[in-house]
Amino acid sequence: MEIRSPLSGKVLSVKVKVGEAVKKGQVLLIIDAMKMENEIISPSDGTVKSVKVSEGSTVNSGDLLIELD
Amino acid sequence: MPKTGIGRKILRFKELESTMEAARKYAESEGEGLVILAERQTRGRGRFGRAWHSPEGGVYLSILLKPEVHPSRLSCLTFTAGLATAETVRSLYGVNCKLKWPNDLVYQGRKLAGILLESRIEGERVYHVILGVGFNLNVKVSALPEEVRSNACSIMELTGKGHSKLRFVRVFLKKFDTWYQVFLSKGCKPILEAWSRLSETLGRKVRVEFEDGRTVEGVAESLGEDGSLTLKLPDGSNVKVSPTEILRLR
Repeated sequence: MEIRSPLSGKVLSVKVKVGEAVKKGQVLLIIDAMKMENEIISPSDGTVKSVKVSEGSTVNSGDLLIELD
Repeated sequence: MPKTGIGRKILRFKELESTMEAARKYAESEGEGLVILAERQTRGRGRFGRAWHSPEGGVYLSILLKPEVHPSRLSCLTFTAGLATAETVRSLYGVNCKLKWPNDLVYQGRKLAGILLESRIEGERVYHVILGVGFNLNVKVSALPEEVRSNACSIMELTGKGHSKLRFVRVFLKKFDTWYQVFLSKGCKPILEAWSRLSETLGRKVRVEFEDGRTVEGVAESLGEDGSLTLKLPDGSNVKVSPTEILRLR
């Protein structure tokens, strides 16, 4: 499953690592947009297959952030 | 207080660690419009977890919002909150405060309020947004830590007397509710237009320091639909800046 950015902004922090098991509702990363801190949460249980961004990355709406298995 | 909408339910506390954290605890069980109000905060925070000093006399509140909008539209709430705060101060106390892009409420360059917004998003669904406001109403600036004192002011010190917190809260919630409904029904354009009229940034020469060390000087000309700021540079060209890429604006 692909987790894409729903907005444009800057990645403040990435809360998960490759190989980590995540639960539905768990915070995956935080994106700052127009001085608002947005928690992006996991839509389902799974395992982190890849993380495409890091702290400080600038992202646009639709950019791939994380892949879950 | 209103029976529906923003402020339909208000929980008041003498002391909290943080109204933001309290609001998060209620985010799933409560509906839109819940307000958490505290006389003081022991661990008030601003952006990036920085401390927001919250002595008695200030107004510290958080509002739970559940807007049914695409996440990309949420950034407008930054301007909505600033606008409601500025209008409240101007109407209640006659203080000619202004809005510094993107979300500072200032009087002659000194900060009167802090605004904090946090959201929780799954895919394209917004679960909730929590808006936090820390407002220097009856605060003695001398009671604030030295490092923020020169950059802060309070309504009590500007007007020479104390004011009712409840009145501030009542008027602020009403104004915020009004503009929030405008945001939901008409989008951000009317919000940005009203914000621009109270702006201390637009129309003046500013210096922007970017996080990567670059600096740019130009005249702040306009706001984009996404809330970005367009500067006109001395060579006539335009540059668009977003708050996420800048370190400081002077």
